[in-house]
Amino acid sequence: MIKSGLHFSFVLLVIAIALYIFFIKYTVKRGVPPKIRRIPGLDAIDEAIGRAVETGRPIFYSTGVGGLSGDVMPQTLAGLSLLNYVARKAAEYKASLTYLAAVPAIVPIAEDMFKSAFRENYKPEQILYIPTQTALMATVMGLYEREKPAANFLLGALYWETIILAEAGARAGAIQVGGTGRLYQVPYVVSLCDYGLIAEELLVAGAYVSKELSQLGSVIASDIIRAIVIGLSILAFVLGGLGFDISKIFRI
Amino acid sequence: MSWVRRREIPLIIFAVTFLISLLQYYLAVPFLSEVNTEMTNWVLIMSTFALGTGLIALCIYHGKIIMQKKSGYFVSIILFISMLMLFISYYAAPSFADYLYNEIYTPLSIAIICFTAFYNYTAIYRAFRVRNIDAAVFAFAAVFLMMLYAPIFEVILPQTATVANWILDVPNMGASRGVIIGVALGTIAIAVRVLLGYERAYTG
Repeated sequence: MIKSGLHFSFVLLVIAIALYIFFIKYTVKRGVPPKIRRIPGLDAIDEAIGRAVETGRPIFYSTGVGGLSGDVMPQTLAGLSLLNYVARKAAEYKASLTYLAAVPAIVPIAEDMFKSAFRENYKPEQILYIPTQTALMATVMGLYEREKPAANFLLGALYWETIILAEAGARAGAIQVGGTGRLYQVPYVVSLCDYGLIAEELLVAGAYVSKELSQLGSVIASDIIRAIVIGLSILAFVLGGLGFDISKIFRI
Repeated sequence: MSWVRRREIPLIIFAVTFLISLLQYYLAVPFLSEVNTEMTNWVLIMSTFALGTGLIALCIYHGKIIMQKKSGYFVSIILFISMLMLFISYYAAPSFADYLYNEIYTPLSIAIICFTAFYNYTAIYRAFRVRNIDAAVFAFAAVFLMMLYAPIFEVILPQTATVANWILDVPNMGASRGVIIGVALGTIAIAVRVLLGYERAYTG
């Protein structure tokens, strides 16, 4: 019934899903949040919002041009989780927050988030819909130069626009927090932003800032699965050195 | 909106479509593949409808700006003129539409993209300032990779290519695979959280 060559990966996927479900349910039932390591980039979010309030300058947030489909969807969702957090904090401290939306499907989601965070202070202009990547880059270059943002968040599935958004933010003197799981954009995020979140750091960001038990539970499962993957890699390496090619098992 | 409409329906839609897409990849069940193909067609149809409603919303939004003469209303007028010009020319004179696209839109886009070159230079300057050990390693690796792609260095110092290729094939490859595994695990985690109803970012 299972397609040829996919047996091993299917079993691994089922184990992974089972572990995630178990640890999410277990953590929620236990009610005690697990300890996770400090992520400076996420701790800096509050600092950046505070700086925007002190200086009276705006905050800009972008999830890049990655949408809600395909393999980038989880990164966009993680970016939106953090947008929700930033919107609530900005509303609490009465900071000016603008979301640069480059994907039409995200606009209504962001509107809902802003409406529930800012309530009567919500203004439609807070969500700036810019339809293409080129237009986004052109808009940002001018907008950041004029508005001189205090904080710039680039969190999500970032593409080629990263360099423009991050460099424009750096030129404006904004405190920048960037994060993506897209491999080719990671160097730009790390080199141009004050705080960078690499790959899975972005995906656990929602858990980190919300401290929600279900999300924290999935972090434990990720660590266990990562240990399994590392174990399998070491086993393949050692056995490979001894002349046994176990990589064939992975392709059963 | 009621609780049922807000939370349960999006969750059910996600769960059903997710499981069908996932299982059709692993299982040799023709029915699942057929359903998946059908769902993909639905996505295309819904996107087309969304484009239509988007056009109406765009006209209403910019129409209001022009009627109320809000600041920047001339931009809305330009939008309507461009939209009508393209729309009419696509049917009346397709070659003119191509001309508009190739001779106006494309050069403008390229001009904007050219800005990235200047931003790249200043970004590189920022990145190469050796502020800590991480930045030093980054600068060291980048210098060798630049030497790899500038053929003169290979002629003067053939060892640079060896070092650069080693950087690409060993530390870079290892780190890349680590990132890929991390993203894959995070992806499964988010999918499971959405399935269990704990992740609700996509519902606003």
